[in-house]
Amino acid sequence: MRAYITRRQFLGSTGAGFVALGYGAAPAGAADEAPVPKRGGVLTIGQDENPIGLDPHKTAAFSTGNIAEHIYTCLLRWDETSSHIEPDLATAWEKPDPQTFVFHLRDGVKFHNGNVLTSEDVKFTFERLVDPATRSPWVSIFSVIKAIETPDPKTVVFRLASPFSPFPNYLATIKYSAIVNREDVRQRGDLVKGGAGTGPFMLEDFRPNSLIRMKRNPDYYELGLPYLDGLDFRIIPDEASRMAALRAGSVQLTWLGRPDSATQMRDVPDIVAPDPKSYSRLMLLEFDQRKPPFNDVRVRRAFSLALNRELITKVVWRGFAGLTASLPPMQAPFAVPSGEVLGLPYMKEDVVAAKALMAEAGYASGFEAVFAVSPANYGDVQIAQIMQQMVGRIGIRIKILQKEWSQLVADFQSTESPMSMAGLVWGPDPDTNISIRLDSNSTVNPGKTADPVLDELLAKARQSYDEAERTKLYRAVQQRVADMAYIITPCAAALRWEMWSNKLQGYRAVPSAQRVYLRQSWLQ
Amino acid sequence: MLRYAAGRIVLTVPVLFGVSLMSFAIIHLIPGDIVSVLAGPTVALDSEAAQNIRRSLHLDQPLPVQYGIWLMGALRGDFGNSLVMGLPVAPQIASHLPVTLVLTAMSLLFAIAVGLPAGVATAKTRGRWPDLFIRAVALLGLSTPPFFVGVAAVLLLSLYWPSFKILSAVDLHHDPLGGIRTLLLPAFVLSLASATTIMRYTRAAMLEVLTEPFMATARAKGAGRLRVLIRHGLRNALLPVVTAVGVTAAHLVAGAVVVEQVFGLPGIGQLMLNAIYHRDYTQVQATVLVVTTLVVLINIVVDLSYYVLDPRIQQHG
Repeated sequence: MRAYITRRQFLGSTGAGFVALGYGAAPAGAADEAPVPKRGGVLTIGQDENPIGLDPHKTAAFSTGNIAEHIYTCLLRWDETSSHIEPDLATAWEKPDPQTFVFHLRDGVKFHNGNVLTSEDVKFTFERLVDPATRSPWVSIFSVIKAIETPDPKTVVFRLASPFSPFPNYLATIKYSAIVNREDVRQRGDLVKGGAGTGPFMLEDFRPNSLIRMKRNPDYYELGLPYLDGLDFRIIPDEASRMAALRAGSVQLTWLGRPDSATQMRDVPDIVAPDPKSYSRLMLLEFDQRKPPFNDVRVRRAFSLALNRELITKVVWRGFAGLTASLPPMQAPFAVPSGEVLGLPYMKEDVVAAKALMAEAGYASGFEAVFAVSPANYGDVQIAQIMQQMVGRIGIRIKILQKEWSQLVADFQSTESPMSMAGLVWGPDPDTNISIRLDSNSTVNPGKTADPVLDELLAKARQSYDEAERTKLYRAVQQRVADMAYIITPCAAALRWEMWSNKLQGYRAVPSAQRVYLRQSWLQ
Repeated sequence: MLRYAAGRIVLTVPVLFGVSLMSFAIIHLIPGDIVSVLAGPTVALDSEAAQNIRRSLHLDQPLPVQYGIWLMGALRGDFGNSLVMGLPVAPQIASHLPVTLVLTAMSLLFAIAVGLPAGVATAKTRGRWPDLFIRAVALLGLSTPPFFVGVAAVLLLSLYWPSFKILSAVDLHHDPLGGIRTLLLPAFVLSLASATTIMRYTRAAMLEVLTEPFMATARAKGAGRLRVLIRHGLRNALLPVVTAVGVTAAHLVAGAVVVEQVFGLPGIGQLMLNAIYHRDYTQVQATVLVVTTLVVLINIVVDLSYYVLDPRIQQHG
């Protein structure tokens, strides 16, 4: 039995579709206009953050993933819509039973140090990921693996403790499961300063806070790729400087974090600044449900009803945002589409009904509450201020408490503040963020939600391998979360606004802000 | 001379000790938990994994013990490993320090080269248009923060002079000349406020000296105008100016943090800022210690230069 397979996966796994895969994602214009890829050239990228080390297994940091995603590859990978997976280092896989995954590795894949990829490297990678000494943030996810067998150098068998449908999605995400070389890790000890991967580019130079230089991997397994001779990541933390550098041509690709900056770049000639296709950054407000007043569902529902979500997306994000339920719109098809969000319970603004609920709960004259938020990222404080005014209309007098990011995370977990909000970045699977925050078995669960109905839905969704069934289950989860107002999701926004010089061809931005398409981009 | 110098240097020991205590303590006074950053928001802070991290970093030890471990290492030049990256901190500082030093030194040279002559000129033309004009420009320079000038310079140059590679990577080790060329603009931006300060001090000191009787004596003895101005006037006006240069140099080190950020320079300011952002205790402690030591050293140099400039200090100092 095959895992839920798409046409593309089938084509890819049969090998016949391999060439089509490599070129399939290039812009498919009319045949006579299709630009011809050109070999050579070094692309300079204006990077916002210095990576905190290059070991892909040691950190959840976005800044490390941005670099590692060019050096390493995984068993599987995301397709161009970032919603389905396709073969990568594994050309085919089977699922003989719900707890067993068998992967067949691609022939002749070489690591950057010349070693040939074998099933032992795959086994080593996952053993390293769950080894406490590695300090991987994903230990709890990969602990589901009970045993890894390597019957021959080209076959890997994963035996899981329970059916786990998110598994393939994690295997397709470099931030989670980059395949490393056993020999290389043994020699280096760790990969903080770089390592040998199987990716399209290899690390040449790492100068912290200055430059990360990569060169083309001549042995990369996709025929003819990459087109570029190299990548230079120039670390420029200041957003205005990155914008200037892109205008001047000092860099040819960068991203911005603020919608205002993004709109400024829209009309600059020779700059491609596409609007984000979908929204992956979920704004999420949580309540302490153990104490009054937020232990009362009527109060939470009133809070939800008092919000005008459309106004929030317009004012804070200049329209670069979408309405969202508890899964961000990017997580299609599982997420409730933005257009249908207001149809969910208590999502559409209704101040009269909200006031009635407040009175019913015994808070006719309202109450005061502290709302913790971090100014670390654009949007959070602005949204908090708008919500402060909106719920002020029903008597909830919010005092906004700005906290340093790590303090917010810590308090979030100990539920120091009755309300706090943070932006959650994209996770590979719908299960990633929602279970951690709402499942009563989760050790994180900041709001201390304990709902057997929700737990059961989440468990079923985690174990179902049928996409249609999973979709139905996650829709039910979102319905339930909205109905009980366990969390409030004012909007979902773009993670980054990517823009580039029109000299860069064949590139596409994806909502998860992974720059994997550089492998098939070229400079004109 | 030697005794004076030795005395000054010995006095810095308790200062540096205080500095080390402060830089160690400050990071522990800020709320928040490094483990939440290291483990990511998906790991519970009281979980076994989080406890392991805490133990492996000695964070479960009492503070005095942590300080002792740290100070002993620091004295040997070992600042421990970065909490976030796991790499030793000392080589990081060694690779980032040169950029800041060169940037600060270049800015100081700019500031002196502009501020000193401008100060003398304004004093000499007191109340007339060159004085008013230079002081107006200087006031503008003083009141415009470097992050504004920096961003404006980057933006204007990128629009109108794109071939001037403003944001190319600096590598002083392999390409010192290219590195210095890239640092020219950042150093200029950084020097603006300092040049103004030096100019104002020079002007004030010169105004005072210009009315001294010995100036008239020098002129009466037939010395040339310029010789009187520089040899007799400026030399005697220099003492407060040197103090200003010293204070300015310390400010430059602080201002470098901003300028490095705007121009993407791999200096100690960047390193410190990143460390603070990632809550990398060991790196913050080490960078703060290094930067404050730098400022203390600058002050020693200033003190010693008084001695050279004004032998009268010898008797009192």
